[in-house]
Formats: sequence, structure tokens, C-alpha cells
Amino acid sequence: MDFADSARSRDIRQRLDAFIDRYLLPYNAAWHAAAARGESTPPFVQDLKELAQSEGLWNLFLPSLRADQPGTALSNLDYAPLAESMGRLPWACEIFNCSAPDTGNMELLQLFATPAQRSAWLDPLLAGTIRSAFAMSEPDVASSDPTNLQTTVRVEGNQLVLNGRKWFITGAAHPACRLLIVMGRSAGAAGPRHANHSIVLVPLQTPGVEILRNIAILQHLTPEGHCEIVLRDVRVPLGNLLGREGEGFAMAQARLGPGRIHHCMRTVGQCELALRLMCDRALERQAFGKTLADFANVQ
Amino acid sequence: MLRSAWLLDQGHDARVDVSAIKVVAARLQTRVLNRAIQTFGAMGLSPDTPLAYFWTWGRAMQLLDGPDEVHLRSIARNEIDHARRQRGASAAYFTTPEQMRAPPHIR
Repeated sequence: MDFADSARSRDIRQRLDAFIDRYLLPYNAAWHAAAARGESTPPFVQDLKELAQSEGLWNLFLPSLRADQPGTALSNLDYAPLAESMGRLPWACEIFNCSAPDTGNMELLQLFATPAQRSAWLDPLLAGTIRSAFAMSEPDVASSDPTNLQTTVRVEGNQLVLNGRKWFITGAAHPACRLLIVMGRSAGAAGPRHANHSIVLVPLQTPGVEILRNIAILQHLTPEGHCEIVLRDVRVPLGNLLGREGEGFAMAQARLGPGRIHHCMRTVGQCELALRLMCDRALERQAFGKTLADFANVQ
Repeated sequence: MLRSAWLLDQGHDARVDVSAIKVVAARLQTRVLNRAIQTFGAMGLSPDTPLAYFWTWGRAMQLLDGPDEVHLRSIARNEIDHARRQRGASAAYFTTPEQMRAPPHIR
């Protein structure tokens, strides 16, 4: 099969690349300077987001984007090369409202949210006015086997009560983060192992939600954070349950597949950039009478 | 990778393809970035290029969003399930002495 870009994908990729070259690259050093100071959203980021949205370079990751939602709908195949381009700069995705974990969260909400949940959370996410985080991994169990997850969700009258500890929750430290999407086990659930978990929408400022720390990845701290979070008797209305009780795993699959492909495409973008940087360097740098590019073990 | 995206678009179950590409991509990133950092010499370790950040992110991706081992397990189980449904199909490719002595048999 030939997966060469469609004409539409090529056109939008050219526009995206031109936008990145013209508007983002000149601000790249300023962004890194701001990040070094711990600021995740210097003022020009908001200006660039508005400009990108006005050019239709917005919400490019969502094949099910409707006509009444902002942005441009693309298939996963057509979006893939755009993710490759965005991968080259750590902050490019945000300008086009294509950042993880929000893309996966928007997919979940698009599929399963009630009308009230859509207007409270999905609409502002699609507009880029708020950020979100997905709280699944836990420090106390091997979370790669999701049936191990221990955070509990208990029904008490007209409320859901959550208790547990999560970590490596990406985005929870972003100043615009307002929503935590929590995967938890229904307290007292006794069904088949894969049908015990539910997904609950928790406003980040709910009493009982405590962000303990931003965990550095190999000594490297990111402004949006990979956070450790404790949930201590966190109470939300019953209406904050996403989809149906016990269907957490099935729903989570909807966000994981496309999200992994996006990460992989960004990886390809980063590897291609690294290769270009490496070749430039090898052609420029000289030692022992030759350029590095002339040495066999550099080639 | 593009095939996985296409499978998702078609509504097929792409989980095994996605797992496979996730492992390949994460390991690729550290391999490529190791070479790139080495080519830059000490500068490759500094914040002056994106390479240190890309290397760190590549190393993290071997754990985040599912460790390599879990994805490899998914792929392996899929292969084994496939083989289980076709037990013995590979026997014709062996060349044991008994098979060499027996006359060819067209079914």
C-alpha cells in the first residue's frame, strides 16, 4: 500500500511548516528563556495561538471534529506528517492546540461526554482556553497492568468520592490546567477484572486534590509538569462520571491508540531534526586536517 | 506508523501495530540521538541544542505511555494466538530424514 501524503495533507503541511518557520522559530530562544525561568506561557504564545486558529491551523488531530467546532478535521493518516513537523519544537503543539495530554482528553470527551460535560470541558479545551490532565498511573502498583490501579471511586448519595495517589500526571502544573480526568476502581466492584474501572471528571481546584510535586524526568523539569497528586476524599457530583461505570478501560483505548501514533510521529520529527543538526555539524567541524564528515566512524 | 494511522482511520483494531511502532520509535530515538550528541562533542550535552532534551524524551518514551516490555508482550501474545489457530502449518518446511524418505504427497 502506498501511504504517500494526499494532496490535502501536503497542502496543510506546507502551510503548517511555513507558519512554524515564519512565526515560531524566531521566538524559539525566547520560549526557552521563559521556560528556564519557570514560565510556561510567555505572552507571545497566546498571540501565536490566535493567529494559528485564524488560519485554520487548529485542532488538527481530531478526525471527528464537527463543523460547529473550531479547527480543521483531518484523518489520522493526514495528521501524522503534521505531528512530525510539530515534534521539532517542544512548544509547537500548543500553538496549534494539538498538545498531549489534551488531545487524548478531547477525544474521550468528544466520544463520551454528556451535553453538560461538553459545554463545561470540551468546548473550552477545543477553544484552547483551558488545559487538562489524565490521571491514570500510580506509584504504589505496576500501572502498566491497569487492573492493578487502586484509586477508589465511591458513590455517596448524589456525589462520587475519590481517594488515591497518582503520579507522572502530565500537564497538571500548567497554569491553565482546570480538569483532571481520573481513572479509578469502583469501590467494592466484584465484576470481571477489566470491568471495574470508571473515569471521573475532577475540576483541579476541588478540595482534596493536592499536587505534591513536579517530578523531574532524568533531572529535567518541564513547565507543564509530570506531577504526583494525592486525592483525599475528593467529592464531585454524580454527573461528573464520564460514560458508564465500569467501562473505564474500553473508553481509555479510544485515547491511547491515536495518542501513541502522535508521539511516534513527533519522535520521527525529532530524529530527522537531530540527523540534520548532526550533518551540519559534521560538515562544519574540523579535526586532524579533515571535517568530521570525512571520518569513517562519523559516517 | 502511517499504516497504523490508516488502520485507525478505517476503524480496524490497530492495537498490535500501534504497540509495535511505539517500541520501534522510542528505541530509534535514543539510538539516533546518541549518535547526534556524540557528533556534537561536549556541546551535545549542553542546553545550546535541542539534542539533550530529545535524548531525554526518547529515553522517557521507553517507559511513558506503556513500557517497551508491555508492548512487546502484546505483540508476542498476538503472534502466539495466531500460531495457535494454525498449529502444525509450518511442518511442511522441515526436512527431517523421515520426510526425505517419504514420497511427495499432493493433497
